[in-house]
Amino acid sequence: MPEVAIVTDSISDVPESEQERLNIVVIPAVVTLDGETFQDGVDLSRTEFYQRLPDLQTPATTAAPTPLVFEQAYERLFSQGIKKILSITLPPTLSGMYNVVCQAAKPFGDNVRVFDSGQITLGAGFQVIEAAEVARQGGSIEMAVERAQIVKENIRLIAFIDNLEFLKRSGRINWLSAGLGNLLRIKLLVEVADGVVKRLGQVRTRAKALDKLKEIAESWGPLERLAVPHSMAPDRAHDFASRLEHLCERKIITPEVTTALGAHIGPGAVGIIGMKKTN
Amino acid sequence: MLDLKTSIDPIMRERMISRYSTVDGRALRLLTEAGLNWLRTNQEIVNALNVFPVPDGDTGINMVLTMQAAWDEIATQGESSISKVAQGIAHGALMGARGNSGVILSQLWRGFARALDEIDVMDVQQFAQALQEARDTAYRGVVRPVEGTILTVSSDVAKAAGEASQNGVSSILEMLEIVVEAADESVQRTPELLPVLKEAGVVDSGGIGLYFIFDGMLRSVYRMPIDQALASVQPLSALSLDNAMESVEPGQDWEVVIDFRPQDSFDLQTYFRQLETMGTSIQLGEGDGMYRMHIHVPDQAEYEPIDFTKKQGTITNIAIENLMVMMEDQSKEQGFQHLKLASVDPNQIAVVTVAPGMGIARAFASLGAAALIEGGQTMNPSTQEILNAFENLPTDKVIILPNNKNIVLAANQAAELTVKKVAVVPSVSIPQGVAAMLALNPDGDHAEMVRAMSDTLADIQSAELTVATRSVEIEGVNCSEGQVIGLLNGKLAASGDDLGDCLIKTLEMCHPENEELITLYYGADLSSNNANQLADRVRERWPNQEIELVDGGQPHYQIILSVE
Repeated sequence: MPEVAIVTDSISDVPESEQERLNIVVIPAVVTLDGETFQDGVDLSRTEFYQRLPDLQTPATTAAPTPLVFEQAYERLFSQGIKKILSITLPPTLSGMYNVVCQAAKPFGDNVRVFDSGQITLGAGFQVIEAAEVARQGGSIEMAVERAQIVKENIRLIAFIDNLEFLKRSGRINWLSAGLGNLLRIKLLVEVADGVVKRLGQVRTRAKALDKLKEIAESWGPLERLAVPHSMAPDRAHDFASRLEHLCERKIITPEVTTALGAHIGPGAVGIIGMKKTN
Repeated sequence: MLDLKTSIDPIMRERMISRYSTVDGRALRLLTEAGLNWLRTNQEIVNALNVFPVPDGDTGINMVLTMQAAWDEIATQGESSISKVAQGIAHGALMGARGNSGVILSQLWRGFARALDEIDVMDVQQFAQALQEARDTAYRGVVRPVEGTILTVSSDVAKAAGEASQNGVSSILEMLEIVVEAADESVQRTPELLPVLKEAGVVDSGGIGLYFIFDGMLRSVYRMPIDQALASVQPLSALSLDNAMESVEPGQDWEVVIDFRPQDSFDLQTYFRQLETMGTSIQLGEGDGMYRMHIHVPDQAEYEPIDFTKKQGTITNIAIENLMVMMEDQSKEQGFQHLKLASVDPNQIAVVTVAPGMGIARAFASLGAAALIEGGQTMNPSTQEILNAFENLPTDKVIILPNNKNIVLAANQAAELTVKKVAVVPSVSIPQGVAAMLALNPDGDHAEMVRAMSDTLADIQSAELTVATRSVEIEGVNCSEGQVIGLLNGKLAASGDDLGDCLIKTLEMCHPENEELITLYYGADLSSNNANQLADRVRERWPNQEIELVDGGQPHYQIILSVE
């Protein structure tokens, strides 16, 4: 029985199979649609979420749960015999989740370590999975943190946003100028690194957006893990993943991103998350 | 063209030949002014020589404005050294250069001035050398020189002058006669060298402009009038009345266009001379025994040409338009200064782009342009205007998007005239400009950004729909005046009576079924309602493609489109 457990939130997009296999605890983010509050991935299916998204009166909002939810999760783990917890979370620059987790962890002192993934979706999720592998094999909390840190440094995340409307409404990206894409619809290419969303460029068609993403991914070198996340664009993601097979020996996963992200990026987005080979 | 030698009094000619055995700065000033004036007088003839029957960047206007800027530089100069005067002309022409012909003209002056460096009085040998240097400089200034253009005329002129100086011609005036003759012959040969001219049944417009400059110089020496245009009649269909706006002069409030069938006693020259006392911008067209007359006249005089023409024959149609109101309407739509432009930091790259309409300007602004220059197909900005647009920006790294083939050279010239690091990404259409704009990263490396933006130009197909300004058959496509024509990637591709049909036909050639996005920028002449109907037709025909409709507000072009 491992003594270290990994806790994260639903925005890490850790696949359910991996959650079960590695005993990863995932705390759902909170999504609000026109005044109705849902737990991400628990009582709101992703399909239902995207169907409702375009017709909302007010922009969908996402929030961290209360610190209490994390505290209870930690306590439950300790009561099950876990000695140390690594809580991998979103960067404070992008979400209030980090502060909530820090607050929840405080009473537990050294027993709960909070780790800023600097990433979102599987950019964080790969760190969670790799740290959980260390824990499963009986590794110490230090070893799990070390592994998460190495993975963090080797994560690359790029994506294109199909429709800028949602990102603008969410108000999360300060550089997103009001004029951009108002007159001409554009596909925005972004990169997430160290908790910052950077603008890589923009194109006008999906074909060009995907070509550009592929070109960038090919410059990364050999990859240990590769994911092609999408927001309500499974066919596009699958087709695109088949074009990237040469980049990674492991099977490429194509998860639908969490609703907490979907609320900001809207439907149609496709990304590439790569974890570079670390040895 | 007029054969001067037969119409000049031989005694006067002898006297002038000895007086003009050499030329100093003062004489060059007078000759330059005469060249400008004769070109101005005949600018409509130059303007009418468009290969494509589209409202185009008018070569005549561009060359006149370039020469005007040259003249302004030396008008009040008291220099007697020809080297100083020629340098002044070259500098003025350089800054005022507009359109490709204007830029080449400015290069000719640059070479001309360079050859005369340190020379006070020019003799025949030096004149021949200066013409040769002018020619060489102009050729060097163009990446791929095309024969059958103003370049060829400059080349033939230099060759004739070189031969003449070896054959013992000893007076500048005699040399000028040879030059004018060589220019005339060269212009007439242009259709043989450039098939597209032959197909369109015209001679090269820039070439004939250069001819008029030389011819004006010669005429002024012989005291022949240079303020009355050669009463030339164009084929009716060649009248490009759409462009009248560009040449409105202060005080000319009305545009009058009269169609009439002249009576037997009609005398063209007399008619023309009488019209010249009434107004400006006179154009005459003829076809099937019908005449069309176009003139700009001052307020209260708008009926004079009608009353006068009535006496010349039977009027079938009259159109009067208030130019001042037209101008106001146009200026109302302007006002790029209200647009929110990207602010650039000293280390960032600023993009300066040319936009023909408010909507397109707005689109460029939204994509991060740091400066906008108004202009396009029908109004080519000058080197100076382009320079002004970026000289005051707080950065030294600049990229210019000309968005029109006729502005590329002036943009290149502006790039060379500054200490800033300026590069031109040679976009020749609005959609190309937009595509390049999208590749911009203001924080990127200048050279890399120029390459990235240039790379986008080939990724997009652009087309334009406009109304033919005359009938022509070109590249296998027939169109008559007033019909809608589609130009695909700069080539005449389709024609028809209905805008929608022609739009579909032009689009079909772009094979949108293999592409993703069709963008339609509709012009100032179309209502948003009409534009939406057109977009619906396109949507119906290509239901799997995204259709984007943008209020471009560009003049003359009903639709500018891209497929990507």
